[in-house]
Amino acid sequence: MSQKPVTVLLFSSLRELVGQDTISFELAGPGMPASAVLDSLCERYPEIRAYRKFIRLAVNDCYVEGHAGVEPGDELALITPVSGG
Amino acid sequence: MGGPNEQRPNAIDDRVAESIKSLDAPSDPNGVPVIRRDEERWVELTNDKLDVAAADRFLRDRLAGGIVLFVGTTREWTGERQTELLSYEAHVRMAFREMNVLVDKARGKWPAMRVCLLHRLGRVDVTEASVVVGVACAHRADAYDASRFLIDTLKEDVPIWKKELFADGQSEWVNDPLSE
Repeated sequence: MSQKPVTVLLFSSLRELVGQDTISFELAGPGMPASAVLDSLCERYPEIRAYRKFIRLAVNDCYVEGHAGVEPGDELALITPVSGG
Repeated sequence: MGGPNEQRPNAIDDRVAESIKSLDAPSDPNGVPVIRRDEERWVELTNDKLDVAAADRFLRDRLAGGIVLFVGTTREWTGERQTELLSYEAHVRMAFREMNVLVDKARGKWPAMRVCLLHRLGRVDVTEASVVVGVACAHRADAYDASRFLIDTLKEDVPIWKKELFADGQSEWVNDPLSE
């Protein structure tokens, strides 16, 4: 049964390196840990893998720990070190 | 405007001109400006020039005896390196949310009458403001501390990124851990 995908949001360096600002991601199952989603993205995208240890995760506009569950339809943002101001 | 521009010491080369052109494209599909403004708080993300005088007017309050306004601007020279402009992008909804969280935290820690936190996105030319942080308190010590907290924490946590375009045609994302 197909479920709603997760929308992965990319910004700055990652957006440029991957060449797109979103990735549609099919969860292995509801509540899949955010860090597991990131691991899976790293397998598919070497550009993301290079940044793996610097990335903070945010689900639906809030920072989360890696063990936080991701649900179908969520937005998962990959936040590389920020530089506002 | 003609004449004076021809006096520029370093005419920008074609590559920079091309990069700049791409920055002029509508840059934010996720909807700026976003703004929350009431009597005590003004938080905004916008593509427009920031109005420091308007921030000053907003911060005036009968109960405030000290206003601190911090204005972050695009610096042309960093050592020997010349910057042409900065370009900012954001996870807009999350940045706006985080900025409001920061204001909540500042107001919880310091007795601020009024707080403003404004950030510009897109292209920001040399000397123009990218960020305005303003705090009005009864006394200056609280206003200084709260404004320092706001800008320092914004730089750590709010999902906004700046790209620096140099006069020599190179560019880089600031704080990118993999750029040299």
